[in-house]
Amino acid sequence: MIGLIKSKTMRRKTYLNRRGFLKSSVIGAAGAFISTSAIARQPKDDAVIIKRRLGKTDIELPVVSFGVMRSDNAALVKSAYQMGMVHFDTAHGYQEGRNETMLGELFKSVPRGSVVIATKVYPDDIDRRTGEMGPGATKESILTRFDLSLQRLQMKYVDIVYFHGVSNRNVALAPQMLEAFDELKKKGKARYVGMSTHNNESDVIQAAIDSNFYDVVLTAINFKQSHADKIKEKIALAAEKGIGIVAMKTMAGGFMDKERQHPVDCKAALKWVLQDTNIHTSIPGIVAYDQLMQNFSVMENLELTEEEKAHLEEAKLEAGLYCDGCKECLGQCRKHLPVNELMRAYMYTYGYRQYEDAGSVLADLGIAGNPCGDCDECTVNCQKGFHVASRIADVSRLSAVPRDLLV
Amino acid sequence: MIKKLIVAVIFLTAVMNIRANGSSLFPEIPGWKMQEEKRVYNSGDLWELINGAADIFLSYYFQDLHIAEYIQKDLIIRVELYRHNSPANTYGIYTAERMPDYPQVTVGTQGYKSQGVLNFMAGNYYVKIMSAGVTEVDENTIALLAGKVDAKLAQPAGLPEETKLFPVEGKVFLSDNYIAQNFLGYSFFREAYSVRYGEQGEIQLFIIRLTPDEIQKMLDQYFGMVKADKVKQRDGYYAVDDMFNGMVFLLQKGNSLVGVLNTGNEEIALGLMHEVAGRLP
Repeated sequence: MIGLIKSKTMRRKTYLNRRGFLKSSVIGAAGAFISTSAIARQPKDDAVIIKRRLGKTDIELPVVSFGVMRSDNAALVKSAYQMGMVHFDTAHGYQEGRNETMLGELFKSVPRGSVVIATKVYPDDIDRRTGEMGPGATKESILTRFDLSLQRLQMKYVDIVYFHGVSNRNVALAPQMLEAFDELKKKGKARYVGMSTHNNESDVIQAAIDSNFYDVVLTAINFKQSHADKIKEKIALAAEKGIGIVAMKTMAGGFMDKERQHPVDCKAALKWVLQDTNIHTSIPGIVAYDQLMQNFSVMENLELTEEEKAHLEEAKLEAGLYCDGCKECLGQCRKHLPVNELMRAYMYTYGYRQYEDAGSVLADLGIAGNPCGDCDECTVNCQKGFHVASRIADVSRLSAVPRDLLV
Repeated sequence: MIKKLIVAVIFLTAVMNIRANGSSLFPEIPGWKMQEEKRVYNSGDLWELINGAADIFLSYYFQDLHIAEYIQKDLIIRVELYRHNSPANTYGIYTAERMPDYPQVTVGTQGYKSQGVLNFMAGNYYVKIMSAGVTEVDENTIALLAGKVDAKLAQPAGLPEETKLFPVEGKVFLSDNYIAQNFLGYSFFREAYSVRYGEQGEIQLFIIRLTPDEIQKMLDQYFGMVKADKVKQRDGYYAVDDMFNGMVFLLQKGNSLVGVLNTGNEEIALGLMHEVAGRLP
């Protein structure tokens, strides 16, 4: 049973709440100096903050947490903490370790129980493109990397350690990985174990359910994904089993276009995700104070305005023009064409005008001419409703152009 | 037939540009088999390879990533070439990931190494070289390869000119960096070079160089945000009581904005700002 827990205070009474924070003058090493002028821009101090329990864990979190992907503004992270954010998410690989180092420096002077820290590790010898593991993907490599993470974080334990970037069932259930994470838990180095996934999410979440091992799943989920309904089905099943669900990539990349000129309404996008009560918290990346304030406002009110609904509808339509890589088409083509890859080439050509990249995809796949030309009926049922045969016919014309002429 | 030909020509014209140099970005190394990945990652799909770590690359205007592996029996070296849109942004992402306590190497403009890894920056490229097989490749071999990659890329050397404006005395070793966006947590502050000073590296000195109009607009936005009563105009500079960043001292000179934060000592702040301002053209 996933409860929607509401609380009037964000942080335990021993720590500064937002009002206390805003009234304080100096907040330590980060050097943030807080004046009362900030109060006017804050959400009401008696506002009800929506909190949810993270599955069967003993962790209760505000619905918005902090995805820490950058270390160049420790003051921003510290402000978030002082204002009542509890959960901070990093990874072994972010900024070659500097991200964990920054969090370690920042939180070494606060009571350990006042923050919920998550990091992510992956083993050696894992193909980051396919997610497949080689012989070097050993239990020891996980343990070694994780110990380095703990050292950088200056902590004896993390609250959640994720197996980073899992994209298939076999990897999720690989015995040496389960052994490694189990050992971290047994040794008290990690309170809970999870998996993060942003590819083939449905299968990975199902694997988490079947494993009876993972406590938390960190999954990509946003309004733009054509397979969002499928992911949400699995999320519901996982939540019912007591698995904590953390959402990432909630802003769907932040922009509607590759040129990053048409921003997504991040508040609307975040609300859309959090309206699903099976999702317990989210970790949007935050790089500016206005985003921080906006996220606090979302914690208090998840209802979409009419304007936000309209924006999401419009954005969905725009997103619908191109493939988002759900891979549901795989195996459907009677000629065994890698339809998802061909749709990617189509997106490069007609969406981004990146002909060289499109040409590379086609060359890589050995496409010469229209591979659908001799097929009278297309058996592929695209989740987005694309007529894939005609798209393939269009884009495959590029295969006739020498690659070195494409830029 | 002619109509079809015209359509074909239009199509080809639309998709073609003559590329001056279609050769590989990767050098050949005797005794090693080089396998270049055909897939090139761009800003739309970098996250597919490096997950959430992609965010910071995008904030520095990442353009594309080319990857190759060098194989010799059971040894594998992976080379990743992250191209950004300018040397400043390459410097930004490189310094965002640079570990100051790792040994420095003399390749490209600047580089460092750790076990089985050598990273360096050169012009528009941030280069990551790593031992990728079960058996670790020795560091001399990696260093040799790094030199050849650097030579092949043939990028202009040198740190951005702005880095030379900072006083050397008291500068914390390798504390220099460049923040392309959201400097100090504000979306209107951008393209800031900064260096840390002080025993704990607590004092931050920065410079932003844009056009005078852009600098003025930036200041207007900042002062509007912090409210007028928090901005004190002194003799040629400002002292701002910033609710998030503490006392921020600012000095505008032409197309440059120089600032200091994390010190309550106005004399120190002023001294640092004037040193930078004195070096400005």
